[in-house]
Amino acid sequence: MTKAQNKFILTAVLTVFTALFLLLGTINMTNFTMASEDADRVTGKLERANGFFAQMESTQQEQTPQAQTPQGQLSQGQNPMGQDQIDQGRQNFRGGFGPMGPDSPDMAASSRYFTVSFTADGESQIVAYAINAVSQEDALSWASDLYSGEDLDHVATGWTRGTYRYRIYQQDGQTYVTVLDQGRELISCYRILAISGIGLVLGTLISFVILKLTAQKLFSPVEEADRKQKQFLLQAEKEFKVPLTVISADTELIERRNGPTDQTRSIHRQVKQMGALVKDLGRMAVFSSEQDLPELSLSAMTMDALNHKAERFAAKGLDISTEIAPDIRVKADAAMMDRVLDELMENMIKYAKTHVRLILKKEGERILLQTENDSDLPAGDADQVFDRFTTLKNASSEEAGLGLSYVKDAVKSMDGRVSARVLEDGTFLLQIGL
Amino acid sequence: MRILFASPHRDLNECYQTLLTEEGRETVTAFDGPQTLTLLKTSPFDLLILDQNIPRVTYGEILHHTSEAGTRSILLMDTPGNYPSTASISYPFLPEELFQLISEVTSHDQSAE
Repeated sequence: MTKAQNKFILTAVLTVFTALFLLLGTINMTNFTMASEDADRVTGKLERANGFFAQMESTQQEQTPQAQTPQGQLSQGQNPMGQDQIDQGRQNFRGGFGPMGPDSPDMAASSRYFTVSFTADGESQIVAYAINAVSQEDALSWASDLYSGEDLDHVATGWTRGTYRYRIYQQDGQTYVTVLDQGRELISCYRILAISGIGLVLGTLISFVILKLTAQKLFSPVEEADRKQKQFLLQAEKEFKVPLTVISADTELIERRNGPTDQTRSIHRQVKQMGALVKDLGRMAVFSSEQDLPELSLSAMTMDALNHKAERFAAKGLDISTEIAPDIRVKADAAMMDRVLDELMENMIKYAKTHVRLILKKEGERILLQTENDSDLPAGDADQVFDRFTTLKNASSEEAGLGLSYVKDAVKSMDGRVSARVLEDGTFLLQIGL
Repeated sequence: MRILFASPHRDLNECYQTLLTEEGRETVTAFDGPQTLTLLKTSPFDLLILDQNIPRVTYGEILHHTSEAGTRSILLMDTPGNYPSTASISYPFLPEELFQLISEVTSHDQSAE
């Protein structure tokens, strides 16, 4: 499978995953938030009911919070709700989809909670106890853990021990801590969360499988078009090269016979521009290619390029120093890499004054290929040398300014980086990171 | 200096034969591999300028022959690259670029002597 196909599959799967994650995450967050709000409404009702729902059936006992004994076991058949509450609930209930959750007439009867009061002196007392999972001693200790003893100017709510909702409030100079068991209500939330997680993973997996199976068919027209384009570019490049060479040679002959004219100069210019265009066509064909690239010995290729140009360096009297690490390998198109090295050598030969330096080494995971030559250029960044048709002031007017532009495109196609600058001592430094 | 210019492109052969002759270099042309090899075997040449796409015999085979015979060579290439022991220039090139390369190759020859 090609790089483009893999990239498409990865992007699509990530998109599906992200969309599902956001959607399911929002649903679950909303679900838990609503569960918290429902729990707070129940504890709010408990607060308004002085910390307990049940009313003692006996009218002989005082109905003050302090005098109330905690609700222990209810006698068989005894409804924990007060009669007023029962009547109100039946009035509200219309049958079918009746009021649910905190508004249910059976809410009070089904709530499992305890309430502990604290005096200003820190003495605690159970006000209401309608829960089996927690002993009274544990309830007192739990409430003490929740209430730090500070004066509260607001009602504090929150979750405690996972599935219990607490409420701390002040009434009549005392602080009350109500803890409500929401385990049964939260179990559905957790189920939805678990199912959402499974759905997220399955959805992502299914999308990956479908894309993997269909990508080949989706991409084959694109790949075919790409192959044909590359073929055309290579063919066009090839067909233009020799005629351009013949035209420039014949123009040279005409100038020798009849002397240069405006027309022959114009032909030379046009041939030069056409030559640049032809090189661009070739570059597009190579850079757009996604074939499996061979692993090349960059060390060996660099040494070969240096040896190949040794006569040119010597002819110009340039002193060469090198620091070429052995066994540096890179995955690249051989012809493209040859040309990159050729352009770098040519650049040094053309613009160096007395000495050049070539470095090839590994820096961590990356490869550094660096050329240096002395020059008369002012210090500073020189990245513009990689722009097409751009030369620095030490270049002759005949230079097209395309060589390093090719180097930049080639290196970029290998996911590399190029940079150029002139040091304070006038050394022109060109670095390629692969 | 005797030069053998071998390329399947007739126009290219003719114009460079004229240019090189005017430069004072005796130039013979060939249009395919067998003709090139025959000429190389039957008469000595100082320099072979060979098109990479010479038909019917691979350029590698021809360059191997010139290398054994000690004849210098310049390869005219479609794509830039290096061929061992051979100078090269890629299409499209200007006449002065080829002339400069010929001078470099032959001056190296002279300095070696």
